[in-house]
Amino acid sequence: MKKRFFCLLMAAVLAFAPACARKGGGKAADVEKLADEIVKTEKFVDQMSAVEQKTAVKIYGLEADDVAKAKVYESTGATAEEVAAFEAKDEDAAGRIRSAAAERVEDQKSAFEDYQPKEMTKLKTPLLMRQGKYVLLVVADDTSAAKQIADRYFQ
Amino acid sequence: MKNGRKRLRLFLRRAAVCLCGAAVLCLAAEGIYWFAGRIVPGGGAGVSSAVSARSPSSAALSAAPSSSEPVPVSSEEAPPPSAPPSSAPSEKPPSSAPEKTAGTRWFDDAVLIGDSRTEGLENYDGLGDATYYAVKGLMVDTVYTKAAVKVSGKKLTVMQALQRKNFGKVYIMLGVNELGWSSFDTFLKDYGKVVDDVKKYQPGARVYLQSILPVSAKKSASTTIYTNEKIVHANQAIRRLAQEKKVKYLAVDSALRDASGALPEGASTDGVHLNAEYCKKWCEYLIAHTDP
Repeated sequence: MKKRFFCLLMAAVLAFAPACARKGGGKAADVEKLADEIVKTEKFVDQMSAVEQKTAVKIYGLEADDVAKAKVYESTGATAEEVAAFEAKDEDAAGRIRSAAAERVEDQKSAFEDYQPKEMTKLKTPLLMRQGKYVLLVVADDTSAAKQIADRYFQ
Repeated sequence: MKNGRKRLRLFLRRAAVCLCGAAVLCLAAEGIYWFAGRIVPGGGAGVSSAVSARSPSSAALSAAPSSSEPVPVSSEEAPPPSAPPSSAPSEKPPSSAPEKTAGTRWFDDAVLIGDSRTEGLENYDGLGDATYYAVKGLMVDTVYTKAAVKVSGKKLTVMQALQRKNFGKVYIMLGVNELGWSSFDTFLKDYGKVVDDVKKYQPGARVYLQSILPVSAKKSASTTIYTNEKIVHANQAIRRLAQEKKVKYLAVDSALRDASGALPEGASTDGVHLNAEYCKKWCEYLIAHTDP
């Protein structure tokens, strides 16, 4: 009877272990591959070029220590298109990065509204996601493909 | 009673063992997920709990400026979505930017002031630890009025930012957005004032005026404002201004134009803003033209 009880207990532990691993941080995702796949799959009008992590940190006004890994693609400046995938050092840092990404979108709106008003359409509907330690920003005409890719990576 | 205590102790011991086992399994599972994420990043299924914010804009669109006012370059047309070489993503690895050498170290105490094209140069990041005060649509008058340079989290105008920090070199590229101004003399007068104020706020710095970069032949033919003829004319005047103000003139355009004097079509999606390959050429020119 007791043995059966402990067997059941161990089985329950085994069943809940994966959920336990997911709790808090979500599945580990490779932000480099995520950004690369989005740039290859999503339709962008402009040429997208990867920038160095330190440049991305500067552009987004981040604390370098908050960023464990980042892959950011910028357009030439002719459009507001951009893809930025960050892995933060922890969830608190991810919150700060998400806020900075939202601020980046607002700054871009201010910059583009008189300069290239057509780009405001993209900036009004960016894809901004945060999942655990991960933050993703995509500015494009249609971000549905990027959303699907991100969902795959973050689930 | 004794039997009862013994059973309780046994139960507690086994429960502790179970908890330890659970902890080990949790850690192992986390490791497996981490590993799986690296190997098969696209794998897995389930319902996403991602937070998606499609923020509504409160910004109102303003009317396009008339030709008698400063006209932001490239506001006329968006690049066509069907240009294959242009729309192809450039997997420019960060390492393709010049490594930090004696040449790039020259720029560690430099500030580059300019418009959206200088912003593109900032993204390319090939000039060491240079500082950039680059703002979309920046002109010789808005360097005093447009608070868009972030310094310690605060937005300042370029001229305000210049008073906060000392630089060894100041590189300026302005003029393309002013091609639509009704008075070229006003542009030159204002540019002269910018140079004077830069020298006032940065008394120890070497000041460089960069020529305006050309636009593509297609862009030049599509507009009466941003033509390469006007750019050549403006550059001649900027060269004279540099002589008059005793600062250096850098003919950056010479490194970026084709035989016809235009920006090569493959250098840009809209005929104005440079891609990474041409930002690299720009950097190379600046690195090759540092003073001893």
